[in-house]
Amino acid sequence: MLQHLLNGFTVGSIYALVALGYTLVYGVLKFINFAHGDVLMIGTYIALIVFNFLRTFIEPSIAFIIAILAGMASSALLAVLIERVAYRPLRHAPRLAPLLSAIGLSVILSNTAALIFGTKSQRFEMPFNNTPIHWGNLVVTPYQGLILLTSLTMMVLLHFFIKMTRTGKAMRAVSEKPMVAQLMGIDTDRIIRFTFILGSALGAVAGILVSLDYKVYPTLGSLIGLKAFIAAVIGGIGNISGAMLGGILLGVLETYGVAVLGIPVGYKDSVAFVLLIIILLWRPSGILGSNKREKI
Amino acid sequence: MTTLLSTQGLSRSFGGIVAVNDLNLQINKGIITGLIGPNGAGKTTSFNCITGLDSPTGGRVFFNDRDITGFSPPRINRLGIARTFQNLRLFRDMTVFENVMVARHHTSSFSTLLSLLRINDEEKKIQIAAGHWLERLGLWTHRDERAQDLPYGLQKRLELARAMATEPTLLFLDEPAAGLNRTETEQLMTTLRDFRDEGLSIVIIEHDMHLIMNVCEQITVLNFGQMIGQGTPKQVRTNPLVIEAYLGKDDHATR
Ligand SMILES: Nc1ncnc2c1ncn2[C@@H]1O[C@H](COP(=O)(O)OP(=O)(O)OP(=O)(O)O)[C@@H](O)[C@H]1O
Ligand SMILES: [Mg+2]
Repeated sequence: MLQHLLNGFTVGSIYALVALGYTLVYGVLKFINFAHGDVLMIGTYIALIVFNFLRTFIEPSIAFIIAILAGMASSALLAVLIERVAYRPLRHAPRLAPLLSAIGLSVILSNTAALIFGTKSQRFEMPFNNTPIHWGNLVVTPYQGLILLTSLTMMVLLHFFIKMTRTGKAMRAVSEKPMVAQLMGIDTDRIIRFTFILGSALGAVAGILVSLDYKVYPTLGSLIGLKAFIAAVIGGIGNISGAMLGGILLGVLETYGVAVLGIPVGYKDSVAFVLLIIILLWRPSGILGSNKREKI
Repeated sequence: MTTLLSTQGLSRSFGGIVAVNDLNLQINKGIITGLIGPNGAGKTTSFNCITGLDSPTGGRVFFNDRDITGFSPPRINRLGIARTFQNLRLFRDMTVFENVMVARHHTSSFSTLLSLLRINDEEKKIQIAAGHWLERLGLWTHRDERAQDLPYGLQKRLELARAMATEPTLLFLDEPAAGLNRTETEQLMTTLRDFRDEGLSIVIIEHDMHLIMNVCEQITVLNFGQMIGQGTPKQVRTNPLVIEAYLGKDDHATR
């Protein structure tokens, strides 16, 4: 039982990291960045390339750390570029326009990745030893430990960043009342750009961590992105704690669904949708989402 | 007296409605100017055009002899212009303290990084400045409360504190006394006179004639987007055009 909880938490923390990217951007722009999953996929590929290149020279674990940083940086860069050319010009257009732009980009990115990197999946070849550790009847792989440790640390850091720092406050201000934030001298464009950087860097970390256990392939982003998007909606889109909660909840329930309720593995992904429907019927704006209706 | 801000032929129309029509405003330095007029006269729209929230469809805005028409709101704010709103627009989910600290945001992200690493004391300076304005407006004891949990009168004051924390030289107030009781209004009047005595220039939109007539040195009257009168409280009170605009039309004027 505890084992499933642990496994669920591990998957869930990955969903949570990616869900944060959706929710942060939604917070400041009130828009779903459907290209998020593909941006993190590109970052994961870059990390893989950097890793494969470096591991012949240096200690694999150090190569892996450098690869993560490179992945984060390239996802962030790509996100900034996309924001500038594909979203910002549409900021005052009807809401559907940037959404379509994002969906289009998502298709372009995953196809470009297939073209450049091939459709065959690749993997990080053992950055370090992954022999499972046994604690009583609990089995933890070092990868799992790394995933949990990294993602939880990132979430805690993010929490304090948003709460304590000036940029964090500015992000909250922009997300609540962009016009007033501007009048307070806040450069909203800069805050929005920063939000994209933050979200996509977190996403890249999630992409890299998840491909330790699975693999890297061009549609990696769409699959994990869809789950994470559902997690963000379940938790209450725009709400940071909601994204974390939604991600973990989804991961745990999925794992339990397969292991305890005996849902066939092939149907595992349907857990997310069923959960989404139930939650939205019960609370239309998600578990932690505010239920105040938008003014028309 | 020196002119601090002026508009030349300022106009703003919304489709067929001409909200502001060829307006030549003149705001003098170091005094409190009142901007009055019946509902829908175009007062708020003029504020919006001056503070960069709205773009005028015609005319220009000058601040310290510099053409600031079309400048972005953060840029206008950094030049020293701040405002409050007719309907409260606080950051409702933030604490009182955070609301005012946000107003001190405009420093580079580089210095944010430095203060995270504790290399400079920017963050400390922000807290001190924010604390100063909270204390001055009697909000210090409420600093950790969420803005939306404050009583209405204090929320109004918080909006004033937040505007002041951006360190303006010119402050625009859109109906600062609306919804306040007599005592609160008197308090507000004292505060505004204090600010003026310290060198701040203020423009007030207000329907409360008691406040307008008692704190303003200059009054400009708008009707249908146009200026119909201007002068000292005494001159304005006896201006037949102004009396006509208000008579029978507006119940606030008799307050
Ligand atoms: N965004 C808008 N779209 C269309 N019409 C508008 C808009 N903003 C203002 N108006 C119109 O412009 C006119 C002037 O409005 P404004 O809010 O400036 O008046 P006001 O003098 O501030 O009035 P009040 O004393 O009621 O606040 C009104 O007729 C109003 O309906
Ligand atoms: Mg108004």
